[in-house]
Formats: sequence, structure tokens, C-alpha cells
Amino acid sequence: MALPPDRLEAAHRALVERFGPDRVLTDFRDRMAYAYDATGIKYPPDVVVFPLSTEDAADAVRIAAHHGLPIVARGGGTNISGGTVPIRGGLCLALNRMDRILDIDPENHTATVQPGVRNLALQEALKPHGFFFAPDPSSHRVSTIGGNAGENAGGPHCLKYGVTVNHVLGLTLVLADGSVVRLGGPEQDRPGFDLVSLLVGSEGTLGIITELVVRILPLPAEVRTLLAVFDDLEVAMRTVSDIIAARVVPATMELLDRGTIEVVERFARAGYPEDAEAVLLIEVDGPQESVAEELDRVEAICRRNGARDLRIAQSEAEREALWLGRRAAYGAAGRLSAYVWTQDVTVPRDRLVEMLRACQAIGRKYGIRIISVAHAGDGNLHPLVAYDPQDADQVRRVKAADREILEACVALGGSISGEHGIGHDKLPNLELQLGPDLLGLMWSVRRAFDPDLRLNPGKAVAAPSRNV
Amino acid sequence: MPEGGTTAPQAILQPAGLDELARLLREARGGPGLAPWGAGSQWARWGRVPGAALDLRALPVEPRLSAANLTVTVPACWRLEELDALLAPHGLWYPIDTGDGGAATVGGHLAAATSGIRRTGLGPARDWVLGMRAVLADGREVRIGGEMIKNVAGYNLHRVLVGSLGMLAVLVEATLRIAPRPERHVTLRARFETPAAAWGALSPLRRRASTLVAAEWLRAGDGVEVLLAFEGPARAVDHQAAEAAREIRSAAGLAVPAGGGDGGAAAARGGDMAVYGGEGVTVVEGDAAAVLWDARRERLLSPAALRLRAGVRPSDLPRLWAAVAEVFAGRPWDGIARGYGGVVEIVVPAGGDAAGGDSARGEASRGAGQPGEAAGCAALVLDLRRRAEALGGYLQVRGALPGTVEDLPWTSASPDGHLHRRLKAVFDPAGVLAGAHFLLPEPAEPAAAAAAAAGAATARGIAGEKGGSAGGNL
Repeated sequence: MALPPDRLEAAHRALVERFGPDRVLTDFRDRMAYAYDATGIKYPPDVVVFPLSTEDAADAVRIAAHHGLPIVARGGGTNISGGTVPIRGGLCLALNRMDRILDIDPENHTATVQPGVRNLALQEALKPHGFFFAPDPSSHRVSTIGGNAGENAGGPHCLKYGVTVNHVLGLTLVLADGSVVRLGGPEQDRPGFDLVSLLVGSEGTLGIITELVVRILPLPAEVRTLLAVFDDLEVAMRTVSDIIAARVVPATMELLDRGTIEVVERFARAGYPEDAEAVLLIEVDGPQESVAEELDRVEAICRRNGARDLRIAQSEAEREALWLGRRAAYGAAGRLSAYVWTQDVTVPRDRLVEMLRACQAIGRKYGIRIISVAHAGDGNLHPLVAYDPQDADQVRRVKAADREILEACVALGGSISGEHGIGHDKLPNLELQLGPDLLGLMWSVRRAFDPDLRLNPGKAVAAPSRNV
Repeated sequence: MPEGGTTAPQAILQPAGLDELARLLREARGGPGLAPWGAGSQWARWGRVPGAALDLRALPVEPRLSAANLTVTVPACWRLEELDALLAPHGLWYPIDTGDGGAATVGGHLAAATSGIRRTGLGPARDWVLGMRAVLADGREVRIGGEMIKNVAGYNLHRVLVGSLGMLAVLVEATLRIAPRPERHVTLRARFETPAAAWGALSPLRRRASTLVAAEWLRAGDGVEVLLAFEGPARAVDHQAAEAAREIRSAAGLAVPAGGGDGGAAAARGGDMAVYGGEGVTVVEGDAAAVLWDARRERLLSPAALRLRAGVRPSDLPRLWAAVAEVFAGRPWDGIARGYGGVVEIVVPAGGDAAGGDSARGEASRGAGQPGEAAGCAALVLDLRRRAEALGGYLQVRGALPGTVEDLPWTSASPDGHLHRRLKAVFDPAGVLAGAHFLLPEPAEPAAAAAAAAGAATARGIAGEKGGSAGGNL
């Protein structure tokens, strides 16, 4: 529902008075830059403000609250579930100028950052200290730490190191009424409920994160990367299980299916064999004393399971070359058509083959091509669908297939989102997984934090379909 | 019935099924409040007993082990030793050692968020929880999370329930991550003349020793004894433990026994491990290591008139430790700290003597040796709380005999206390689940930043609400 012009005008005036014209965007063309994310849907905000501090963000929230504007926090805008699209207009809090690394504390293994710090910028700042920040979503060059926390982002290295929620220790938060609280911190076991975990992954619906204390980890002494080529998808997946069963927990086990390999080779020429049914990109890291042994075990398991080719990187350049195909997967898929729908489902690791097969069957049923990449060690599958949004029939079939993929995932005991979030896009499907009682509980939590539903409305959690 | 100092709840309700559990919860509205009850081990440490307890042992729930997925789903009423018995034949384990020899139940462990000694290397308990089945205070059953490793659908409520003290829901089943049992365990023991010397020597180790999973400090007179546990692949453990022993041996402030012996407890292995045993550093494994860790556990669980937990930024642990020593000077006390976690558990003994070492002995006659003598500790607790908070940390009472701390709140009021209250009101609006409510922080004034922000906005003529402590949802 559009906001009354007089209310908008009053909000604009108050924001310009507080922040000055350089930090407030009202022009339509300027606002359109904040209208979309990687999903392709576009809804411009009514006004964009650039806070530089917690106090700025709190003031902006209070002004927006006073004038009844919805509020959407935005970092790098790389979200692929519509989480940062202002579907009801209102105020976009563009946090990308809050990009200062406030403290790197190697002694306590923590860093304190503003939310607009890019993931890669933090990694680069940590490297000279001998540390890294474990969450590394594919968007890490652009996405921000605040956005990573809002979405509880993952990445290829989750298998060993966990997702963002495992690495956020404390938050400074602006609540819906503009008040500021600090949650958690570098001190362990603070009394009270774990509100930090509640906030991480809440997609900006419970509060605006304006500062984070994150856990940083020492860089591993040794990293070894291996590409294994398989003629059978199920054998590749069995190899993943066998590696885990052999007490090896690699940092990464990425799987690309045949369709993805073909697309990647057409556009990126990573050197993956196009007739392979699957490749596994495996990375082990840790102390030198154990990495060589783990690599030997992985290699032996791959060979025992019939991997037709094994390539072990002998240098950083060779490691980058092996990663090239995996990193190019989304971009390459994007060249197949005007849009690529990136699905994100997770199932128990031992059900991943079933999930892959289900996706292929659904693709055949609806006459659409589905290719897949997976964080195989996590059971996290990303089916990719290239489609033309101008083709109404194709869009209808893609939507139907999408729903069936989610239904199949839930039937296998999985989650309809492993790392991309629910956002706007998956909200209608959330009840599939949660059921009305749990969804109702989450909805009540949301209302307890934001009674007027002002923070990122229409995202993450919805009211259940029946009254519970 | 309020909590008291007796040894068992006055009423124990044991539902035979989830339907009956739901009925009991619905019927408890308007009553004094129920508390889920597992092994009672946490309650024993708190020195409290709920008036009415929910015993879940009769609920029909079957465990499900998925070795391929490295997950296990177990009833909340299972003891951790039962869980270990299920996993051990498969070469697997749930690596959280809650510090009571496996007597705690899964539900109790999760409700109290006991993370154990391996928190240093393996993270907190909630990092090992993937899903839960719980019954809400109104009797509805919910399944939160599941057996998938990654899940961002909705809020992380399963993580919130870890550490919820039985106040938000009744846990009936938990799905946990599990791991292969480590190939090798090695423990190093060393003694430092001061806590500062211990931190100076140990802080650099953590960066290099990826197999270092636990680092505990135990009071030893004016200094500290440290126990370091290395676990993982055998070669890495052996190499890193040997390197650590070498570094510690040359560290400033290391207390070397006369003659440079290893204290007689070493069962040093061959090869390089033997080389680096002794000279103030003892290297042990197997039963000898277990003896050391058991002794630590006995000190932590020894009968106490007062138990405190204080937490600070890890590098401030020596200063916190010094503060504890100052505040309790002349009284018996013991300290057991998570060396890299900045958390110290302080035990004021009930029986007259603290295990904390040399100089503490003989102080009992002047200190909190008996319950009656422990009276008046409130002033000490307040003093220590003030000092911990000055370091940016906290102090929480974790157990007290009646009269020990009078009516002092066990936990400081907190600027985020109103959010805890709101969450409680969402889950349990009728106040059916009393749980261990005495550990939850009360609301406090909003943070200075909030006040500043509110002031700035108000100064610009914005008629916003006052920020902060709106705990009024309760």
C-alpha cells in the first residue's frame, strides 16, 4: 500500500534535516538502484538513507517509525531470496557506508566490524594477522558482514567451519522503536537467552544490526585441493559419505553435476571433462602433520570408488584453476538465458542423491533444464534453472517445478533454504516446512520485537495460514 | 511452590505420553510453575529444587542414529552416558563433556547450555544442536530444525532453546551433530606462578595448535595449574602437544618442581613425547589423563556454599582472577577457569576447605566453611560483580545455600533484559514453565547509546517512544 504523499514528504524533510541532502536519496533513478537484488524483482524504496553510525541508524529508524514508514536494511544487495527488496516501499537503510573494521583482536580471536564491511575486505584485513573469517558465501567479494549475519550465510567451507551464526559473538542492534541494545559479546556464556542466535538469520525483521563482534580463526597451516572426476553421480555422492566415514572432515566438498560441467566448460573453460557425470572439488586444511595424511585418505577413497581422474593442485595457481569451474557455475548458468533461478535446499547428507534425482525428474516433468551444484558435505543443493521471464508459459512451469522441488525437499526431511534465506521469494512456501504451530510461534516472536511490523515487512516469517 | 533448599521436588509429574504432557501443561496454568527435571544435576549445583517437576523418562521416544549423516536424534531424558554407549560402537561420539561424568540428561544439558571443557576447540553446545522436538507451554508440539546441517528457514529457535533454562518449552527430543572419536588424546599439565604468566605462555599456543580442544586453569595457591587437552589425528596431536610442551617449558613464570620432575603422574609416550615430558610440564594420556580431568571435575562439583561464574574477554582473565583473589582474600575458595574463554567458576566450599591449593588451606576457619558461616557473602558477590562489570564482563551466582547471598539477584539486571522477558511472554504467556527463572536477567535501563540516540532524536523534535526497557509485554 502506497504511503500518503504528505507523510512521505514529512519523512523526507525530517531525514534531510537530520542527515543532510548528500546522505538522503529521493530521486526515482537513485532509488531504483536500491530496488532489487539477485532475484530480479524490483520495488523501489521511497527514500534511501546512508547511516554512518549506530546513532545515525537509530535516528533514521525513529524518524521512519514516527512517520509510519517500513524499514529495510541493505548491505551489498546480493541476496537471492528478495530479502532486501523493499516490496512495500518505505525507508531503505543503506548500511554499505558503515564499512569500518573497528578492531581486530588476535589475542582474543575476535574482530569488531560495522555491518557494511564487505566479507572480502574483512578477509583481506585479517590475513596479515594470520586469521580468517570462516563464512565465505559465493558473494563474498560484494556481500557484507551485516548481510551475512542477517541471512545466516554459508558458503563452501561450512562443512568444517559452520555457518555465520557459529561465528557471531555479539551484536549492536537498533530495535524497531529506535532504541539500541547490545547483545552478547566476546565474553562467553553471558546470562540470558541466546538472542544473538535469534537475530542472526532473522533477515532484518527483528532489528537493524549496526555492529558485530565476530569470531576469527587462525589460517590453516596447510591447504590441499583435489578434483575427482566420476562417471556416476551416485558413486560421487557415496564417495562424500565414505570420506566422512573415514574420519576426514574436509573444509570443502563441492559437487557439480554433468549439466553444470557442460555449462561451465562452454563459458569458463575450467578443464573439467564434459562427459563426466560429476566432479567433486575437495579441500582439506589444517596442520601440516595431518593434512597430507587426510589427502592420502581422500585420494585412496576416490580411487577405490572408481574416480577416473584425480587432479591434486601442487601450487596456489593450480588450486585457483581447480576452483575456477566451481566459482564460474552461477555466472555460466546466467549466460544460458535472461534469468537464472537459483534454488537452495538442504537435506540430510545421506539423502542428497535422492534430492538430485528428484530435481532431475521434476525438470523432465515440466520440460525445463535443471542443472545442479551442491555443497555436498552439507547436503546443500543448488538447482539452477535458466529461463526467460518474458515467456509466460515457461515462467509458469518454472514456478510449478520450484514448488515441487521444495515439496520433495521437505519430504526428505530437509529445509527449503540452507543458506539463501526465505526473504520474499520463499515466504509462501515456508509453512510447507515449519507447519502452522511453529510458524505461528515465529510470527509471535516477530511481533514481540516489532509490534507494528515495520522492519522488512513481507520477509522471512509470515503469519500462519490458519489461526493458531 | 517456590524453589527451596530440599533435595527433591515436592511434586514430580511423569507423563506417559506427549498427550498427557500437553494436558499437564494446560492444567498447570495459574499454578506456581513447572520445571522440566532431568538428572537434577544442575539443580543440585544451584542448590535449588523446583516445587513441581516434570520427569520425562516415561515418554516413548526412540533414538535414531544416522552414522552416514553424522547425526543422532535422542530423547531428552537420556543421560549423556547412554548416548555415548549408543555411539561408541560406531567409533562416534557427542564430544560435549558436561563435567559430571555423563550423568546429566540431554535435555538438562541443553536447557542449561553446559558446554564443557571442549568449548575451546569445539564451540558451545548450541553449535552441536540441529533440531528439537518440544512441547510448548500451551501443550502444542513443535519440531524445530531437523537433521540437516544447514537450515535458514525461519528463526533459529532451536538455538534459543539451548540455554533456555526450562523456561520456554519442554524439550522431549534433540537432534545432535556427532563426530568421529578422536584418534589420540594427550593432556599437558603445567603450573604457573601467576595467572598472568599462564596467559602469557598459553595465549600464543592457541593460534598454532589446531588440535588444542581444552585449556582449563585450576587454582594452585597464588598461581594456577593448567590442563591442556589435545585431540584429533595422532600425528598432529603428538606433534602439537610436543611443541606446546617445549614452548611452555621455556615460558616465564613456569613453576618447576624441585629436581625438575614431572610430578610423578606422567605416562609419557615414546619418541618426542618423552623428550618433552618433565621440567615443569607433565605429558600424559589414557588413564593418567583421565585422572587429572576427573580431579578437576571433583573440584568443580565439590560441595559448595556458594558458586559463582564470572566471564570477561579472555585476555582479561588474569585481571579477573586477581580480582577474585582480592575479594575472597582470607576465605577459602577454588577457581576453575576456561583458559581461552575468559570464564571462571568460583567455588566457596561448604565443607570448610577449598581444593584450590596451598595458601587457601587453613583459611577455612575464617571463611565460608559452613552454610551459616557463608552468610554475608552478598557484599563479596556485589564487590566482585562490580569488578567483573568494570572489565566489561559479568558475574552470576550459580548456586547458593539459603542465606548465603540473602536477596541479591543471581544475575545483574541487563539492558537487554526486556527482550528476554518478551521472548518468555511469547513462548509462555501464562507463566506455566518456571524453570530456573532465578538465572534470567531482569530488565535494566537502556544502554547509554540508546539514551544518546533517543536524546538526539528528541532534540530534533521527533515525538518517538522512549527506547529501552519496555518489559511490559509480561
